Formats: sequence, C-alpha cells, structure tokens
Amino acid sequence: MFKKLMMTNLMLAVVLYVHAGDSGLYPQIPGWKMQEEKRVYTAGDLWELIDGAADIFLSYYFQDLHVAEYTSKEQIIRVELYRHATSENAYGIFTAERMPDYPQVNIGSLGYKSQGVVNFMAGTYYVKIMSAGVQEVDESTLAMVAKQVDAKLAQPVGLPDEIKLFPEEGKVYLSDNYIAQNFLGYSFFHAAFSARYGDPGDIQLFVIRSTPEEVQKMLDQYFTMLKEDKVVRKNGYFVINDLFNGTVFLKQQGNTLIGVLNTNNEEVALGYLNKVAERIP
Amino acid sequence: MGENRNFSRRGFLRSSAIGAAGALMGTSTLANDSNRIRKEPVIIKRKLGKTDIDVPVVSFGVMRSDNAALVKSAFEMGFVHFDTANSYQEGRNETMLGELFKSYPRDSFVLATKVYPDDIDRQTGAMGPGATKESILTKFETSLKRLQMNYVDILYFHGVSTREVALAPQMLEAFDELKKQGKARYIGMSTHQNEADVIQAAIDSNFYDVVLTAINFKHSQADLIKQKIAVAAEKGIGIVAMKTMAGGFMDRERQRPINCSAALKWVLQDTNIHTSIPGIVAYDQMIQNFSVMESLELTEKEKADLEEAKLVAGLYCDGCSQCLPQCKKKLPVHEYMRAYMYTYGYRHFDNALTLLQELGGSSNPCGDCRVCTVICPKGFRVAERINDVARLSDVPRELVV
Ligand code: SF4
Ligand code: SF4
Repeated sequence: MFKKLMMTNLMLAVVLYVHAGDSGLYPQIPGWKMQEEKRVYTAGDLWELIDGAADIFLSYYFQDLHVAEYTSKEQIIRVELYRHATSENAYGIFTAERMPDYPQVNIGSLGYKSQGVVNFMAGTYYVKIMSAGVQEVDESTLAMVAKQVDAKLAQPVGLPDEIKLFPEEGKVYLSDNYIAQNFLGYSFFHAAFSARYGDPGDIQLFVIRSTPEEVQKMLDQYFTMLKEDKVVRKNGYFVINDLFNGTVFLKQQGNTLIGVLNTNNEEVALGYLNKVAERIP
Repeated sequence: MGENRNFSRRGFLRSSAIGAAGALMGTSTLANDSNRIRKEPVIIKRKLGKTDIDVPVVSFGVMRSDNAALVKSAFEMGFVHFDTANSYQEGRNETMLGELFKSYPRDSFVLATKVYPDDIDRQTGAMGPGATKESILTKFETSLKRLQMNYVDILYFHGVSTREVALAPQMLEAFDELKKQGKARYIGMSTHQNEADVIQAAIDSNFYDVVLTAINFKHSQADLIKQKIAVAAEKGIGIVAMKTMAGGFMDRERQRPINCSAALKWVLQDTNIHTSIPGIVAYDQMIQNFSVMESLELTEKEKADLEEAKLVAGLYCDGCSQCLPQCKKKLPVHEYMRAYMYTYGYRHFDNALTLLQELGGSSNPCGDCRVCTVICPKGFRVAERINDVARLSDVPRELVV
C-alpha cells in the first residue's frame, strides 16, 4: 500500500514539473490574456500562499493548486483550482468555507457568488474565481469566466451520495458538510457527513460510512475511551454521555453509523436516527 | 446542547480529560497516574512582552470551525489564548469563535486575529496600489462583526514577508488608528517567510507589540530567527511561535509523523518565546498540548525523536523551487533532491530509480556544466547530490531491492 502511494506521489510530482505553466486546465477566453503561474502548489508549500488557512485544506487531502490570471486592460481575474484527493474531500473543503447566505449561481456544483467572487465545486476541484485588479470585474463577466473554467475542467456534476441520506424536512439550508478527519475531535472516527436540523438549527445529524468491521472498530474505540457507564445500550441504538460532545445518540446499520448530537430529547433523536436509517439503500 | 455540557468547571474538565487521555492517546500513562488526576496542574505562563497579556505557553490555533465543542473544551480546560484570521475558512472560523465566546466574560480569554490588505502578492509580499489603509480597516470591521466583539486583544498584520511591507506607512497608519480607537489592544505582525528580516523590522519600527513567527527545530533559519527573537524580546516585543510542529511530518509525503510534543517543547524551551499556537483539531492533541503547558522537559524518547527528525530534515528538500531558475540546464533540481532522499533517507531504491527514469534516466544530468550556480537555502550542494544519486540510473532494476 505504502509503495503504491509513494509511486503515485512520485509520478504526480514529475507530471507537475513537466506541465507547470501549461497545465491544459484553463480555457482561452476571447478578449482576455490568460497567464498560468509556473508554480504549482502542493501540500508541502500551500501555506506559502495562504498561510495558516492551508491547514484545513491539508485535512481534506489537498493535492495541488494551479493558479492563472486572465487580464483585459485594467481588469484581472484570478482563477485558483484546488484539487483534492476525492470529490468528497473537495465537497468537504468547499462546504467548510461556504457562507450559506451568499446567493447561489448555476455554475459547477453548488456555485455561489459574493462581491467580486464566484466559487464552486467541480468533481475533485474546489474552484475560486475572483476579481483581482484595481478595477473591479462585473458579476456577469466573472460568471462567464467561471462557466468556461467549469466547462474546461469537465468534471462530473453532483454531490456525494451520503448527502441523500439526510431527510430534507427540517434541514437547515446548506448546513450539510463533510469532515474528513477527527470527526467530533476523535481521530478514530475518521470521516463523517453531517447536517443540522430543528429550530434554531442546533441538532446535528451525522453519518459515517465504512465497512461493517471498521464501523464496529470505531464504536469499540469510542466506548473504550468513554468507559462503560457512559454508554447506555437501548433497543437498536446507544445513548452516550460524552464528556466533550454532550449526549450522543448512535445507531449502527450495516456499514453505516448514524448519530444525533445537541439534543437530550431521546424521542426526537430516535426519530432522526430512524429517518436516516430508512433512507439507507 | 447536552445537559452534561453544562458543568463547565475547569478543574473538572481537566481532571476528567486527563482521565480520558490514556484511552484517547493510546497510552495508559496519564490515565493511571492517580496523583496527577487529583492534582490541579501548574501551568507555565509567560508575559507577552510589554503587553499586559499573561498566557500559558501553549495557546490554541483555531483551524476548523466544525467543532466548536473542541474549542469550548479547550477553553474550559485552561487554554486562554485563541488565534484565528480574517481569511480562515472565508470567515467561518471567526464566526464560530464569535458564537462560542459571546457567552463568556470578555476578559476571560485572549483573542487574536489577522488581516492583510487587498492587492498584496501572497508569494512575493509586494503590495499593489489596492493595498490601502481602507482595505485593512474594512476587513477588520468585518472580523469584529463576525467575532461579535468590540475589540480583539491582538491584531496581526497577516503574513508579512518583507521589511518594506512591515513598515509601509499606510499599513502602520491603519493599525495605529485601530489601536487608538480601542478596537485592537495590541498590534502584531505574523511572518513565515524571510522571518529574520521581518522581526528586525518590527524591532526597528517601535510600533509592533507582538510578533508571530514561524519557528521550529528543523527550520533552516532557526538560529538566525532565534537571535532576532532574543533582541525583540529584550526590547519588550511579545513573541508568539507558529509552525512549531514543522508541518507535522518529517517528509513531504507525510509518511513519517513528527513527535509533536517534543517539537513544541523544543520551541518553548527558549524563554524569549512567550507562547505558541499549534493547530488543534482533536481531543488527544488538545490533551497532549495541555500536558506541555505543565512541563517543558524533554523525555529521553522525545530527545531521540527530535534527533531522528533533524537527521531526516537534513536530507529533506523544502520544495521551495528557488533552485529552478538558477540551474543553467533548467534541471528539476528538487526532484533530484527527492530521489536523493529516497535513496539515503528511506533506502527506497526502487522509488528513487523510478523517479530518475521519469526524469530522463541520465546518469550524468549536469553533463558538461562545471560550475554550479544553484544556491540552495538549505545549503545543499545540489550538483554533488544530483551526480551522486543519478548514478543509480545505471543500475539494472533487477539489482535494486
Ligand atoms: S533550493 Fe534547495 S530546498 Fe529549495 S527546492 Fe531547490 S534543492 Fe530543494
Ligand atoms: S551543476 Fe548541475 S545543478 Fe548546478 S547549475 Fe549546472 S546543471 Fe544545474
């Protein structure tokens, strides 16, 4: 496994060098001069560009960043293509930075805009497009460039399947996300999808998917850490008194672990657990 | 919120967390030490230069906004100083901290954030015409709104990499105005490139109260940075350390983790460094870092781990790319350095050979180039290393194990 990983890294590194400055990732746009930065950022040096913000990108298995600028007279549009290991990870970092109150745009997956910015997700890419010159680029021009970048990337459209497990009813708008590591602050929990519910939106549902054995292993590690008296086994679910995270309701269904946080109301929690369980194909 | 989240007494959380630490950290040492569980820990604190801020030597670098419970637990456990930035997670990081801390007395925690102006080249640090005073003021107003606070304790000029930028008049004016308005109690600047020059600029400026600098045991400029830190601390500038874990891994492939407690202790043994902001994303890290607040003494194992990591660092190319434009033959020098590390660091000869073949398979890539023009900041004699490792290209793969 290690060897395979290493080989992939090596080949990637070489490809990066060869193509630096000419990645083929960017479209030519009439009236705009496109210049790609020679430097391609990797996990080892992303912080040189975005400082401490790099840490969260690395936690989503950031692979590389290509940067290009489109210039037309006084206007500059900067296009940053953050590539992550999987589309789940791209979705994870995208949602970690997404402001739910920004207006949505129909570009890539989950595109949104704010002043001088269009961001969207496209397959394994998190794409950031921004007006970068002194003279602001108008919204429609940014959208036009964003659409062409999206078309050139030609990535599959859509969201991870796990998102469909969350019932729409009562879900807080755009509250779904993906945590790639250390879910709930525990390294043994790996990755989880989550969404918020209720009013004022405090209740958190989460779903962890793996093999049944791996799910069992996570539960074992969690319960060992908590000590037995903190875990109450009910009929088909657990009620957990977690020192750090409060009351946690958990249900295992095959390869899926479903959880509810931030409520003490067992009936409400059980309702959510069952709703998610029913949606598992 | 769960009912059991409400008993937020620090002592309880500390002792219980230490009790849970054994299981979390995969060791029984902490959990079995009953004296330690009962004892209220003595936390090492240092005063941040001439400021009135007195903080534990380990602070909390807030990296993610998805687990407010972790930050809350850290605060209740005894972490005091929390570090964020206007740009982290497009602002969601600050928003989370604002939501969390609004229910605590403002003087019970120390909050630091960072801003940089518009139109600043993040690579070279050069400022364009859009890098105005107004852009700093506007961004910081947004930060205050997100944080739901009237002031922050430390406001950093974010990511300064040149003396010129550190002393840019419009920047000093903006930060001075915010300080005078009481919106920032102290002004600092953060640096992780060209740190020694930037710290010197802070010393010369008579303006900055705090410097947040990258420093770790394998930083190629560590000695020089520490010299500047000593001068700055002597002058009353508060020193905060970042990137103390040296990336968390010895290698770029992230296969060999660094002993993080050891790395943190190495930094904090320098008493001119007043606190540090390691990024914390899990409870086991939080507990481990908390234990560093109590003792900075390196165990024998930690010393050995640091020695090993330093050794590997000596082989490790930072990938800074400075060599690329310098090489007369435009060789991908950093890739040859990588092959060198596989060969001598990991003894992964087959990986090295594969890489060399991808690079063209020449056993003498420098060819007739006699005078090497590459000056590597890590001090690698790149031509020697290239010609040494490239010889592997002549070895038949069957003989490579
Ligand atoms: S200059 Fe030195 S450290 Fe930087 S990439 Fe080249 S060989 Fe590596
Ligand atoms: S000796 Fe080799 S590495 Fe140095 S400049 Fe010449 S070709 Fe480049």
